[in-house]
Amino acid sequence: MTFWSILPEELVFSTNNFPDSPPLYEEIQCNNITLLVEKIGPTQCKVSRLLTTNPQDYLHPDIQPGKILTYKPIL
Amino acid sequence: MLENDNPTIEPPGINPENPKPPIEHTKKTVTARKTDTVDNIQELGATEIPTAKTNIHVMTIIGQVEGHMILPPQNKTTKYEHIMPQLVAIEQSSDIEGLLLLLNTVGGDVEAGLAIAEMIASMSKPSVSIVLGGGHSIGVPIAVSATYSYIVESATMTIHPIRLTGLVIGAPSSFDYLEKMQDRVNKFVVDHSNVSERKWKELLFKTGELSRDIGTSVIGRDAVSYGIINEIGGLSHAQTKLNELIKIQKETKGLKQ
Repeated sequence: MTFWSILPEELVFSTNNFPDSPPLYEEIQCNNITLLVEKIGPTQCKVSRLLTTNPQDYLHPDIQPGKILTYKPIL
Repeated sequence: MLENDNPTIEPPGINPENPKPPIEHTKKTVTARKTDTVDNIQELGATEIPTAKTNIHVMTIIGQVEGHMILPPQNKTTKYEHIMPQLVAIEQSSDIEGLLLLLNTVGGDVEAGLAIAEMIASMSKPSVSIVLGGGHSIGVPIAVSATYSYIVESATMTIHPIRLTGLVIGAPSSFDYLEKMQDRVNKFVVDHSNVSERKWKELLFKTGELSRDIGTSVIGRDAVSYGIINEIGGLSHAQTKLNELIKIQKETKGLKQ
């Protein structure tokens, strides 16, 4: 892999920027929209990014970045 | 409903002829519907999302362009495996007519970046890119891969040679390897923009402009004057241009058939 970036290598590849624990990201599906969420507990996650190209998806109030979603088992 | 069905005692001073319940009623419905959607997300992981039709899809190239290796979590990345299938879907969809690319990238994996750029360049649907903030290193080929490119006046593009990041070490063969890698990028940029190879190489190897490296930091208007980017402009310019390109494509398609 050749990396071509203006950021110094040590900044991109350093792993000790988070002394405690790095944020845990996960991709989940919510009504056919892929969301990148940060896990904030065993049953909760925070929307971090929407991974969709449809601009209309970004207007939906329930999946705005920062929203906290709760996982519940489907029975 | 009769007003006497559920009698309430009005506080003194409020005119019984002008009751407020209708307003409260509407408010209640709105709240109730909202909680339903939230409940749906929480319980079923699904919700009725209104699907407004849009003929232009948008793609953001932000942070680092990520290829074969997952970067440490402090990096905000644009992932190859997200972008590529999305581009295929955009190409195939009959509802989508154009692609808007928003760039604010610091660079990243050369091969992943070139792959994304080639995919965009080979699409049959028109695409317009806007460089916002920065479109550095491998961001340059991605910016020029669109049918038409814009840069906002305040944005910069850093053009500098590909350097070693530790994987290929020493020996003249590594120089050759990097040289070839650089040539691929050079060829792509020269082919897809109006910049001459001579000017591009001059910007690439210029000394004294960047503190850490050789190269040039090209700001908005300069990028246009060197021919790398087509025009200065923001969202409305890009949107207008894209609609124009879509119209042209529709007309030529009509003629062919």
